Amino acid sequence: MAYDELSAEENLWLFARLQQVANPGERAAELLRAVGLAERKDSLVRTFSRGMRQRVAIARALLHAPSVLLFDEPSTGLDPEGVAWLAGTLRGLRDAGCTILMSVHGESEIASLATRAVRLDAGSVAADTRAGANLHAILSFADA
Amino acid sequence: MSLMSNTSALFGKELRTEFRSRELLTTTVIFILVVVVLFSFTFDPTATESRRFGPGLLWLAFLFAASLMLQPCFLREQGNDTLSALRLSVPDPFAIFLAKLAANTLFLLMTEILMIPVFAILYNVPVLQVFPQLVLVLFLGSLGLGVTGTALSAISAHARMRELMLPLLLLPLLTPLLIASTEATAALLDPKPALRWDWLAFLIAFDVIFLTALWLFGEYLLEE
Amino acid sequence: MKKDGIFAFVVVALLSYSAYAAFYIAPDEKTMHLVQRIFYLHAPCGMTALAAFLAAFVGNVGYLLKREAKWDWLGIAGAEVGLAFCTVVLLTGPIWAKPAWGVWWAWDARLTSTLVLWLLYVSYLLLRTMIEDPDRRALVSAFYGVFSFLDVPLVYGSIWWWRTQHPQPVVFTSGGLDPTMRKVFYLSWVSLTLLMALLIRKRYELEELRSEVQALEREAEV
Repeated sequence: MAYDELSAEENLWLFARLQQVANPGERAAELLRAVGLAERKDSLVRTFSRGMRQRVAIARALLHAPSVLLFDEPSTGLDPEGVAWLAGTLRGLRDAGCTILMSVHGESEIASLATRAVRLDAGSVAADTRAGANLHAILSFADA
Repeated sequence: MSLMSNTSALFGKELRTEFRSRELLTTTVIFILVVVVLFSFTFDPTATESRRFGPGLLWLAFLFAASLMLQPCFLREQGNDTLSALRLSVPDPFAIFLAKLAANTLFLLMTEILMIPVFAILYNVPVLQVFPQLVLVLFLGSLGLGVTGTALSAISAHARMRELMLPLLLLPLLTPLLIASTEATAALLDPKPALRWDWLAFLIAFDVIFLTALWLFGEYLLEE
Repeated sequence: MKKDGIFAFVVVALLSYSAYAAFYIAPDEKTMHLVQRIFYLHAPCGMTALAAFLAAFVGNVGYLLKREAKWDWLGIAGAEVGLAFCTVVLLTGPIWAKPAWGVWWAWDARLTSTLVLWLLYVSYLLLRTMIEDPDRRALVSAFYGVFSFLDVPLVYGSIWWWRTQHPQPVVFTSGGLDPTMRKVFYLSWVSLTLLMALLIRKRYELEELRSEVQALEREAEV
């Protein structure tokens, strides 16, 4: 969800301005550092790998310091190093009090961060850790 | 006001994107040139003939160029789903339209002003003494093209065969604009040049009506 | 069902009578004789086309504001019926023009405007065929329908003003109607307007049935 023809910094600055974030320039630079793209801030997003685009997207989502984050298969296309970075970032956000809602498939370092998990089957809840189901079982479809 | 600041941020984005590659501008200018040259083969361009047909052909060329140039407007937002990102970030979706139509009007105006000297040379029409008034006519006409073209570009992005749909939807709609702009331009290129305020008022009415309609209903076009 | 049947019967009866009146009751016109009688079809069809497009516009605005499918049905019904009447205008025009002026087509203001209108609404119908999803189709075509209808006065105004600046021989004169002619004209107009209402209603019902069928098909697939 970023503009190919703009640089990483320009993308973040644009969205920061649109979302009325205070000091958009500083915030953009800060987040670029946090996601590890500070050196590539002037490169066009068109030149980025899948993992780097993911980082830009996440940085964009964090611009206005949200209290709720929604992720759809966040680790798709990320290499192991990227997955480790994402897990660390999500852990930090979770521990800072952010509510994270994500859809995942299967077990992974990221999925195991969950404090609650729900399995859906044809639109209805099939298992819920709050109702006593086991997290590992839900993630590995053990009782499907 | 957040609408104005959002619009200017997005307008800046549109300008930055285009001036970085200049693809749209260059291809549009060349397209208009090709059309103007081709038109000249369809009649014998003596001075009086040129004066009669010239303005109409020029505006036809602008209309065709606009209907092609405006296609990527919303299509390029589909690739990376940036339109969703914009909708999530912007409280008033009209800012998106306003920014795009302002940018499109500017690009169209730039290509048209660039074409005027070429047109003047090829068709032997005097433009120098009426240049400011000509720019006014070009601006009002381009604004109409920008408003309707941007709106219809959002529409055709949802349809199949969108490359053909945009011109098909846009060109009949622009009949009044074509007539008004051609008449106003012809009056300026006449041996006794005159500024036709009746046609200019008509252009302003055209622009205001469609801008209002876009403002009232445009956000529905941006829905998923 | 019965009410519809009676209404249809009344419409057919009125149309037949007005056709008869156009040929046998209306007096002969001095210069163009038989050909002039097409005026009783040509002019009212123009007005009913506009009325149908107005109905379509109401449907379009209604859909944009309310998002209920029935407004979309009204929109498409009005547009198709309007286009049909528009086609009649464009076909009867040349039939009148050829014997009167020796040309099939005269770029006079009313005929030219109707041609542009025809193109606009053909594009509207074409747009609808290019979008599969029914909700998106309704939304997008409603928007284009609004734009098209707003363009109607602009089209007529600009072409009329343009023609005033560059006058052409006037082809269709309707000034100074003899009282009997005027009565036949109004009769024709009323019966054609009732026909339009009947057609719009039937087309609306057809669209209602179609969307029911499509909804059932989608349910069956799931």
